[in-house]
Amino acid sequence: MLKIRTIVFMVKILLLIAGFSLNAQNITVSGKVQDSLKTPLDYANILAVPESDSELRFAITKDNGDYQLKLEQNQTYKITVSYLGYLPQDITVNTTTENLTKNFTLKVNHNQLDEVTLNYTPPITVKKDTTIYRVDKFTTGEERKLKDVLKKLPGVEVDRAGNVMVQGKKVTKVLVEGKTFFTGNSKLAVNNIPADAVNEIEVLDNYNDVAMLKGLQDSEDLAMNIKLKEDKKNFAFGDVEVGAGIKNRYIIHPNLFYYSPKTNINLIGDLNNTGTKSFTFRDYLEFEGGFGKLMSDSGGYFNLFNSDFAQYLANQDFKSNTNQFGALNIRQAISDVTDISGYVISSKAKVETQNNTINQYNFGEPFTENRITTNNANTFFTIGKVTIDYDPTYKEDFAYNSFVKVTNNTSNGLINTNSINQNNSINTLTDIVGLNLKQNVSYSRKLSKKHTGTLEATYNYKNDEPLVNWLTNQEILPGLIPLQTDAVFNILQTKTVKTHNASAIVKDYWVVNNFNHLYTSLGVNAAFNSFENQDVQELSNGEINNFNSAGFGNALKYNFIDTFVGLEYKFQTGITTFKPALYYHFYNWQVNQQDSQISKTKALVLPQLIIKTEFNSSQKLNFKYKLNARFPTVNRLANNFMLSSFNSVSRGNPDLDNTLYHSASLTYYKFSLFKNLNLNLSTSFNKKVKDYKNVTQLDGINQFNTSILFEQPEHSWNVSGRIAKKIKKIKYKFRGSYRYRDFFQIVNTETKKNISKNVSGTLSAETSFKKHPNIEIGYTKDFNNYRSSGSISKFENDAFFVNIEYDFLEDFIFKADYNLDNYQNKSLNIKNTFDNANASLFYQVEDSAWGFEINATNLFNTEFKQGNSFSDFLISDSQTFILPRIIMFKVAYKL
Amino acid sequence: MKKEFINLCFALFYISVNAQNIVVDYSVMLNKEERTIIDEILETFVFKLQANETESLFRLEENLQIKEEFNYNLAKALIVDGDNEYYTSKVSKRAITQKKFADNFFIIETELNGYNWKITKQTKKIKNYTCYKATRIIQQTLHKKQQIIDVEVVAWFCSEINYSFGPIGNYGLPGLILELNIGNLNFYVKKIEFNDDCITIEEPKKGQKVSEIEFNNIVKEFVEN
Repeated sequence: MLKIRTIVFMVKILLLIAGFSLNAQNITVSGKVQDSLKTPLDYANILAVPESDSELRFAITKDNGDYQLKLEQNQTYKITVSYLGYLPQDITVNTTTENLTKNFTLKVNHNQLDEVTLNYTPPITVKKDTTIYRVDKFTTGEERKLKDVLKKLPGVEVDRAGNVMVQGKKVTKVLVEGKTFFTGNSKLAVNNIPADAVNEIEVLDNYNDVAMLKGLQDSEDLAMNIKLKEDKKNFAFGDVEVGAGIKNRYIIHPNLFYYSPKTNINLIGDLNNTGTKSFTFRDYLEFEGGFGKLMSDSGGYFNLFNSDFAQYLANQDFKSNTNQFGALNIRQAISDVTDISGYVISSKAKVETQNNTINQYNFGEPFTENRITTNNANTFFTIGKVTIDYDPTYKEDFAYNSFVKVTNNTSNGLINTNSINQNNSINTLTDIVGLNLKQNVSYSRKLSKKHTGTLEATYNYKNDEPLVNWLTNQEILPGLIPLQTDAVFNILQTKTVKTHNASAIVKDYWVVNNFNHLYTSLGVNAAFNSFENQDVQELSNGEINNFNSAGFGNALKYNFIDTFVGLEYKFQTGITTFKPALYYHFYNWQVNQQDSQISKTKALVLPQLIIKTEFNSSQKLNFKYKLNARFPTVNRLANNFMLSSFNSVSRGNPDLDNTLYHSASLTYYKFSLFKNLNLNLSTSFNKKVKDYKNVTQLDGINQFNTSILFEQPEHSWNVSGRIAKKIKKIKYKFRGSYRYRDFFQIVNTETKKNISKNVSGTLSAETSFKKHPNIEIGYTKDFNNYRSSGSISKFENDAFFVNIEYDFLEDFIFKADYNLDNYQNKSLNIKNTFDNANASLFYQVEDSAWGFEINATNLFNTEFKQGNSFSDFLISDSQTFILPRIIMFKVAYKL
Repeated sequence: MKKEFINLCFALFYISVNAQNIVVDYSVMLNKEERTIIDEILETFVFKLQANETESLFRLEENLQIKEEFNYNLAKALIVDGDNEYYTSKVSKRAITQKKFADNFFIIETELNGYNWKITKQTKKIKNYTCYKATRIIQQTLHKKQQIIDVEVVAWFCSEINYSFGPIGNYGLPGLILELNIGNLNFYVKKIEFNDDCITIEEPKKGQKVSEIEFNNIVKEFVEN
């Protein structure tokens, strides 16, 4: 019977013996390392390599040169002592059970090195951790889509939206057969790839293409590679939405995809008379190569956003809209390094618009004009683009694209104008036919370690033929056009505008060193334009009254060549990057028309400056300055009269030179992930030194305009800020802006300065609950102040909005939005309150192919929205008519 | 007198012959087969290790990119420890790491203890330097999974250069680390400068002082929200 005390004592002894035996296996070698002058060498290295396979031992000498090295007993070691600047010393030591003393004296190494460059690159050892799931082991055959298969795999979780997690890591990229699946978005793949096509699923760990949040100690991204069955490598999927509504409303919207390893096709169709545009700007972006591709080319994104097609997509102001739309996007891999992609977008629409405007003419004796404009337009356009991308190595990049746009727009409109000296109804018929062809080549290549060269060349051909016909029973533009008396006045204008434009730019990027870059560019931009127009009156007896006799009708050719050289110097000091740039342009142009041949040249130096300060990755300050010049467009140069609209005639000026204006902007951006704060402040300033200005002769509402180059400065200034902060689950936002603009009007030989000021502020809050309904509410206040000829016009608007989204009973989604506007034209004492609401209820059982929706837009059947603007000598208060109430019932089916 | 004078001259000569400090340039690359723009950007990164007799500092040297921002920040994010600064002082026996998270700086200070390196007999030659392979195991926290995993750090050091430092805070080996491998990141030496003059090495001071555990908690709390 052993007592506890005894046990403890015995354990202690055992431990002591164990300790001894461990220690007993090591002996200590100690000593001193010094140089031949007996100066101790501190932090010298002592490395002991055993003959056997046991561990290497080491020691580092202290300040005084002393060291202690622990070696195993009864072993042979080769001991090396090294110190920079001295020759290393080797000795062989056979250890016994006794401690040793060894001193070292090192000799100076006369071979001094200042610098060593190691031309060494470590070999790549790829560590691939893959887990392979053989799908047939886990599935029953009843699964429809990849999502259903993934749910059955152990360790894999899928949520309703289609997000996938494997062993707690989120799958951020889905590849099919090793290549990105359409946009690479996991949801598109997970929700659509048919389950019976899937053979194996590879989960690739260490797939470090993108690291998400900075600061996390590891990259937790995962890529999933779907391997398809041999005979199922081609498949189609998509959804179709069909809806019908009250009063003959319909919508048919298919979104179809076809996949094969080399070919990706996407077809989107839209037939509706509900005014909805199912093809959004985002889809257009995808057709153009996706957000990622344009990120590196900010100019490209901006051009796309401002293109007239994008504007067309954004336009919502019509009374009725019937459209037929189709878009096709194809991507075909030709080889490992070559990709060809193309799209065709075709749209045919019938649009009805109405606009009621009160125009205040602040000139002489101020008066108002009431104008009602209704229009029925048939628009047709087709745009197509083909792009070839060739990326043989990461060192070079070649892209070619070809773009075609065909448009044919006809419209039939009626303008009713009422003012003191004129009451008239004018019927306007237009027929515009246009063709645009563009070819673009871009090539970039890394020429050497320090130089990268790029070449970009574009050829653009445009042909527009607009035809406008005005019909009225009362004389228009009295004294300005030579009308002959007739029962109905029928005025016809034909125009042909042709442009050939070729441009090329060669740029060299020179990395002088880590903090200094020098970019040199050389380019040429040439445009050959021809412009012709005729204004005639077609008399009821069949004769033509050509206005040429009164100085109307133009035929001109305008050739313009700009050769330029640019130098940009980019350098970094501390956290700030500076990029001053200088461009030298040499312009050469000719304007040839009957009675006038003008040939001019001009040289301009246009500087630019960009300063970027990056306090950290989420706090930045940017400054930009640029001196800009613009040359006149062809119609500003035509020196004969031309009808511009039912109430204006214009004449160009072939002597016009270039405009000149300064533009500067300062933006501050702060994004704190930690504090959930988003702050954005910006201010921009624009000063026109020289600009084109219309000199107007005004008679009632009828204008005669000529163009001059105006040289008094005009300014515009904007300040805006935005701040958003999330506290718990609510995001609070405030947005404010101030805009100032001054400009001159030249009317009937008097030059007056006008000032426009606008202040706007919006306060809003948005919730982001996971389980409850989410709501967003906000309030905006706008003030507009226009000063013209001594009188001031004031407008105010109060707007309130609320959006709700509520997911309930698992399968229902309810969305609604409401906005209320209180509009005031303080000068004319007009008040208007109007509100607008939309609501929708969507039902879909999870994983079912069917979805149902009831949707109501413009619930209160509001007729119009109201706004105001200020330009030239006119202040306009407009009511724009919108679509009436529409209630739709839609069914969606997923293929 | 004459003999002492000569000795003094020699002494001065010897002192000047000793390298007072070194500046080492490291490059970084990813262990993967396909080459993308990220690799091109990583090629331009230069990490500098400055070390004198008593102090050392390792950090990324910022440089200018041709194509801006987006890809550059992405590449930096990839080298998760790329924004950190690592400082050691033999005099005060401290190792200081300055870490950055969600645009806040944190200072983590520990004792200069040395790590549990296991040196193997495996060698390889990097230029004229014979390097030995040493390994150690470190703990990495997977915040989203709430797990701590073991990761192996492989270092190739050469004892001829007796500065016991290396990339991203790896020190304590009897020699300069010329190549370091952790996960799929490879740091490797491009250039070594041996200087005679004295340089001042700046200790990173900006940031809130926290312990390693506190830092991990801060990150954890953030991730969970």
